[in-house]
Amino acid sequence: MTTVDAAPAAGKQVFERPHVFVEEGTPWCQGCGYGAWSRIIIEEIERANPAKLVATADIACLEYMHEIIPGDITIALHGRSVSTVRGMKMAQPQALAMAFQGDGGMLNEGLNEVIHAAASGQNILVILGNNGVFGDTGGQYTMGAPLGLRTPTSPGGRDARVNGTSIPLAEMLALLPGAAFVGRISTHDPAYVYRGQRILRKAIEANMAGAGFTFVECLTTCPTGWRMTPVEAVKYHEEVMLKERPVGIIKDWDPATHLAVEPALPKLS
Amino acid sequence: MNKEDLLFMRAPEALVEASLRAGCQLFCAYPITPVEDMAEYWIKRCGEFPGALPHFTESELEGGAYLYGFAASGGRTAFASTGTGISLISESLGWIMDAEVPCVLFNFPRAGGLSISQADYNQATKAPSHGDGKCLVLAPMGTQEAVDLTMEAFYLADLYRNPVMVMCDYTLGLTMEVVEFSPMKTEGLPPKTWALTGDRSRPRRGGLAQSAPGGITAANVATGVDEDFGSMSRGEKAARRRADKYRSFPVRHEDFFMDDAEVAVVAYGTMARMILPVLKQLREEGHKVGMIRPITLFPFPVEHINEAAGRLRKVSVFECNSGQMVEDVERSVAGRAPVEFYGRPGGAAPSPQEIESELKRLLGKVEVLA
Repeated sequence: MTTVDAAPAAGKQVFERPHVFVEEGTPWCQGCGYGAWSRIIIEEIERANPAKLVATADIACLEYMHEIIPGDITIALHGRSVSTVRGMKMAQPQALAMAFQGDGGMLNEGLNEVIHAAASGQNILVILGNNGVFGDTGGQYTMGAPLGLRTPTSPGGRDARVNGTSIPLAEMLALLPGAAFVGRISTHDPAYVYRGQRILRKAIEANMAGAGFTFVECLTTCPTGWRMTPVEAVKYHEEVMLKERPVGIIKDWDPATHLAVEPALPKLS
Repeated sequence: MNKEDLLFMRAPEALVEASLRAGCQLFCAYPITPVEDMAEYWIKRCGEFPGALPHFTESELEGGAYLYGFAASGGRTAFASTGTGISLISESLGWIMDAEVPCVLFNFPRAGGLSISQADYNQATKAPSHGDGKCLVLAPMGTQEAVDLTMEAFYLADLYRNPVMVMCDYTLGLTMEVVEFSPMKTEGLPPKTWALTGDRSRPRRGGLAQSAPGGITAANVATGVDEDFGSMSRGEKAARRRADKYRSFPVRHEDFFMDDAEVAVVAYGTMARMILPVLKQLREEGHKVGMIRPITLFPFPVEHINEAAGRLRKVSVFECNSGQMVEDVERSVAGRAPVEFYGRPGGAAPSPQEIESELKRLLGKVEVLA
């Protein structure tokens, strides 16, 4: 981990790193997208300011969320984050509840659970950090990988006939009446970060209003897993990942047609 | 006694009633006979108990995760299934035991056939999951004892912060009896200060988010987010403390006619209940035969059986499987008496005549059946 020199130069401060990252930097690899979108999630949690926050993160890269989340978090088994946070939310109904899961955990190991969660309409936020590979174990392809991605388990590039095609989970979940809000963001450049933060804000605001199940897919670069430099990874991300999965709001919450499933969540006074 | 405390019920439903009365709020039951009746009874009855949720678990895998999340956030929860369902939540159980999260498990083993089956003894007592974890396993002999042990299971789970299993069997799952419900004991239970309530007004531990129950968790241990505690890692220190906890679980057993017995049977659950009337009849006929019934299968009553074996001519283990508890009895007897085994695997159960014939053979009074 990088240590940031805490001594500021003289002059007017116009920008600072969010305090959650100041001491240790982000826990993820250089060029990883998780740092950017987790930062805007923390900022949006602090803006929403819930009195209670319960969260889970899948074991693997996202388990480092426990270092930065401003609330209570537990690390779930691979693929079990969504149902674990559903359990936590049932025990603490006034809490803002969110699950962080990678594409390996959500699209491979725990696919049925996120579908059940969306169908239930339970008021939780589910974040899918999608980079197409099992980053923590060396970059094997997942069910979220774009066709053609070369990985140790698809050395010739992902081939639909051999490896199947990627699962458009966000679009699938949007079909379910239980899903109140579904969006997809990317944070690979400042314009996308700006837009992504507004989509995340809408999701969290919906949860705070008691809307029900919300889902945001965060498309993420994984230079380590993709065996690319960070710059090459961003280029691949723009040319391949974003072409296959355009960002934006897939299903917006309309309180008139999708009634809130529970009262608005209390805020920290 | 109140009229509503004395009921004529099927055992699975009685265990759900006991769970509700013990303050259970989330009951994870997935349809597999006889557990579907538990799910139905829970949904029918939970509205009368404040805080009990009318949730019907979508799958056993999710049930295992609900146990972990719900109990980690301070709720009281239970899971019911057969041995196959225990296999499905086995991964979660390992996580739950490492994170020291309390919950209750109801097990109606039926491996090998829809009859009294005890073929899941090893699964329950030896390796309920990966890792070093252990469940406290209670084995009732009838519906009343199952109800009483259920109340106690919730108490013990909270006291030890560990899963407690009520090990029934398929025959008990089909039994209907009169049961009396007593209030659950709660004295001595500490407040759940470790629970992940999500409360953001609490101070954070060590400048970090509260990342897990008790600070010592599966997360911290399993991910190698490890600190140096002298010569011992945090993971090893926590594992040693948990092992000491498993060793401190209370041991329980019941003796029948053991004062002057020369031959003793060791059996648990419905098998012990089937032996009991035959044993009484043989006693009336003057045969010096007794029975030791382990009530806790883990921890096993090793010392009691060892002490009794010193006074016995022979010990025999009766089980409805191919020989599982017999290994525990052998290590308990430790050579102090010969150990025999009478097993009925594959869903079979002995008739009273077969039990009598086997007991007489053990006593050395062989009567060859025609």
